[in-house]
Amino acid sequence: MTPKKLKAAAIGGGAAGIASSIPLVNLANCACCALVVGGGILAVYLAMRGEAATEKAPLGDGAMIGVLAGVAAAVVGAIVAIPLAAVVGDPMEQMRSIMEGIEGMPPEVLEALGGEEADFGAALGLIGFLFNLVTSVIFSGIGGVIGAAVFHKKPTLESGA
Amino acid sequence: MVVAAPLVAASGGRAATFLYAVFAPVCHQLAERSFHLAGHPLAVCHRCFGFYAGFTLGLIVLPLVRPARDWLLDEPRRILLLLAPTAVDWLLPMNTPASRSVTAVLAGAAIAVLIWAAIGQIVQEMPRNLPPGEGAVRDAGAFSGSTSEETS
Repeated sequence: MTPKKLKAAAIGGGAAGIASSIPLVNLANCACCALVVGGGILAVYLAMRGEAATEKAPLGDGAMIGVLAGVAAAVVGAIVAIPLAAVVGDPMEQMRSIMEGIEGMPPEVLEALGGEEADFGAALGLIGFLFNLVTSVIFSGIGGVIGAAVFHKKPTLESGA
Repeated sequence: MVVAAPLVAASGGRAATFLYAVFAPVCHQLAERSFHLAGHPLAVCHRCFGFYAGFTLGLIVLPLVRPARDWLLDEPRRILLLLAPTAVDWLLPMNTPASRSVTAVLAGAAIAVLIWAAIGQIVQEMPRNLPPGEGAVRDAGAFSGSTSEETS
């Protein structure tokens, strides 16, 4: 993994992490993690910009860059979420409001979210981060593969290949 | 997990919270835009369900269907053609549960083929990333048959 690819992964992942932390903007993630997938695509675009044309699309490289971008997205998202939570409010309360919107949700489930069981604080934060890390890595990896497929340049006859 | 969530919720199990929460960050989970099972919505919407179903189907079936697989892998940019129906359907105001899920199945299956090829490339490039010493040990071991071409 070259420094250029690492830098691209950091930029793409960082952009996705910041966008995913901003209220309202982060709703785009409800469409199949669009922001995180977009972060992976952006990372691969930056990494492949100016690269030489290859016969085969570098799907494996794209996946690796996407995965790294996913890690960056989760870490940056967690860092940005701390000051944002102080301004916007308790994430558990937000989770409860999402669950209330689900038709047929058993009342005991909502009680668990709002009751004494919810007083885990740091533990829930850590679990949330791990969930975020896993989903970011998966979806950003997918974005990386899509990016590699789309931005791949095949050698032309003029280039002598 | 997507299908288990409503079944667990119907039986009153508390694990339903966990199952719905797992998918909450990646899907809006609107009940009117989700398939229902046992009187409860699936853990994801029509479109996400289509993606996951298509992805699973793509991983299992498409590697065996050579013409379809080669068509996509010969020119990976063609994935845009397979993602386009989902994008168009998303933009249409009159989309239906069937259109949402079917277009997503197509996209999910196409992504699965690319992921399958990407993992293949990563595995193929792995021996080159190993230090020479480890490569030699590996060549002498159980994988000697698969790596003999590279050492000769």
